[in-house]
Amino acid sequence: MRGRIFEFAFWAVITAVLWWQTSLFADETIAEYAFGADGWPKVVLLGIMLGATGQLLIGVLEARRQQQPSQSKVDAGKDGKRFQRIMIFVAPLLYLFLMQRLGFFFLTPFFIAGYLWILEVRKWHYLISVALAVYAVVLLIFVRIFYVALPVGSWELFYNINTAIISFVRIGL
Amino acid sequence: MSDFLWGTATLFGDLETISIFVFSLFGGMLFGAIPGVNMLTLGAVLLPFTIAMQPGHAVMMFAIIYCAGVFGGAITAILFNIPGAPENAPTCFDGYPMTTKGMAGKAIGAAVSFSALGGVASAVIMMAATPAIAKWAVTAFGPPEIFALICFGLAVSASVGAANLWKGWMSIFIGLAIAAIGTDPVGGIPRFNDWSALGFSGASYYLSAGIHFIPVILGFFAVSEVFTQAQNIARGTRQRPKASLQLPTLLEFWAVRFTALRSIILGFFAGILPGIGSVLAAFLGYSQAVRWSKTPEKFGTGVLDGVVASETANNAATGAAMIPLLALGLPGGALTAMMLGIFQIHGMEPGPLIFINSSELVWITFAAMFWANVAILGLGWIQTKTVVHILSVPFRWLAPGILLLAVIGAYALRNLLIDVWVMLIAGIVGYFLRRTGYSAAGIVLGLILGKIGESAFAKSMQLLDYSFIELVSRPIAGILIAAAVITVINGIWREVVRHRQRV
Repeated sequence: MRGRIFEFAFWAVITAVLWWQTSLFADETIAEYAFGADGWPKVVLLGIMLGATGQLLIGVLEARRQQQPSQSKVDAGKDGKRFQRIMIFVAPLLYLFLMQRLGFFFLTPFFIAGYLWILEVRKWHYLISVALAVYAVVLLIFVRIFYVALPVGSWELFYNINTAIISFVRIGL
Repeated sequence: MSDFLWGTATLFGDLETISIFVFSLFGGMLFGAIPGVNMLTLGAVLLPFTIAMQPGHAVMMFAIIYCAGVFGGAITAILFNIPGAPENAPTCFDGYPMTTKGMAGKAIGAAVSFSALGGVASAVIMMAATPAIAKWAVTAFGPPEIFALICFGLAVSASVGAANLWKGWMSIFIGLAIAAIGTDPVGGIPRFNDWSALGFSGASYYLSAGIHFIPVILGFFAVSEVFTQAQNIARGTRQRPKASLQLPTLLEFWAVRFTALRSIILGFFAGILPGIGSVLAAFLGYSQAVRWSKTPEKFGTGVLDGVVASETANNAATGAAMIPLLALGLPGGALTAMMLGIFQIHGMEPGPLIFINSSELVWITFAAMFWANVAILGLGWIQTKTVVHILSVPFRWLAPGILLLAVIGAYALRNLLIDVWVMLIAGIVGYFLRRTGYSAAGIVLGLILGKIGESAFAKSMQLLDYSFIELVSRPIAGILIAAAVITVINGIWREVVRHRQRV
């Protein structure tokens, strides 16, 4: 039941903030449209609140009848596992944060090897060979064949490294 | 018939035409299957070269790319939960769960067969009735009917993939809320872009332009799936899918005949409507399959009907999209707009007279689309027997590659890193929403249809002087809205019954 109340509160806060924002900045009269710019989003927000209320009511009814399914215990696991499970989400975010600065081409092989390590690939020859194979395929398809523009980094040294890699991949074209 | 035979003879009687046919077919399938590039990328790259081509060859090339591209995206949708194109998104709903159950061969086999069936059926109807259908569809379907159609599609989809009806509806409304970010369709007033009142600096140009649905789709399907499987690896609970080569049996094909027929009609119909196209066709096909199924609760868990419904409908829309283009000069989507560009490059004007003045061009295009779909059937079966083996590769090795494909796909869209941020955030949010019983399908559907729906609603209200009575008095709109209301009431009733049974 506590989970349901938390869920309702979460959606209530989100809806209230969005309602307030759209009232503050988008509540403008449009000469040729009576509902204005904020009419549609407000109806949508009401829909979210209606759904959240329905959810809460179901939760209340289930709690009254004492038929609420027991919450399965979340296995927090060992500290190492917890770190691994957090890194599954954090590693791509870190990769993206660094990509802007270090560039896609320099950073990507390290990301692939790092993510493989997070996914419990521990043998060095697998780490290196899979990372290089995936990297090579990506470079071949997207850089050499399709000419897809990818970030080259904003720090000068890494910018130069990235452009050098692109030039190398496109040798002979 | 004689025109079609003439078109076929011309198509296969000349080495240059055959080369263009083969190149377009493989190109479309390849670009459709690789996230990050799509048939539009190929079309954009090839458009300048059409100046030097015969107009018939150029239009034919784009028509084949369209057919093959829509099919190609189904493979990655089924194997990795990554739709190659937005029209393949509903294919993920049941295609990927089938893969996890060790039924990838069946799913891809069904996608191949019914993509071809949808495409062939669409090509046949297109050849038979282009001028008449185009005139009827474009005059009978105005903004009120499109709005009603979208209402109906959303109402039916509320039950897809969510833990209960409320979460299904919330998923759709969350998608609609994301779609509302950006400028409003009438006054161009930006919404949800200025957070200076909360201490953020100024208005965001990115949010003013609205959130594109491709990064969100990649996030909700591909990235959240990688996170889910990676968490299962960390917990030690991941079960490896079997790389099964078992193909659908004739009995299974027979069992989905009504789903396929319904999807052909819906897909064709949605394809004719300018601006709606194959994306809505796929979602409508899928949601109607759920609506008419005796076991709707099984959808989303890996049923063949889901794959059949989506793939038949999106391919049925390809031939239909040519109808308003050729008969009225109205492109239904980006690729058909490029085709309109080809006509303009060559000083031609599509419209009713094109069937008289350029019948050679029309019939070689029709014949090429027909044979392209037949070729998809043959090539697709070969593809099924080879591509399924990718599943033998451990997921640990595939996961970084899938993430990279998603990153490249999101970035290549507009060369904006913020699109990649949106994708990753959508991936994390999608992971938690899926865990708590919300439907990724509903959110994506709301997001895709939200903008079209709001625009159609605003136009309808202006057109009908803000009278809801007039809206429901229009025959087609009235029927669709009534069907939507009945669907909602039926859904609530089923939910109440289910709740009573549970307690």
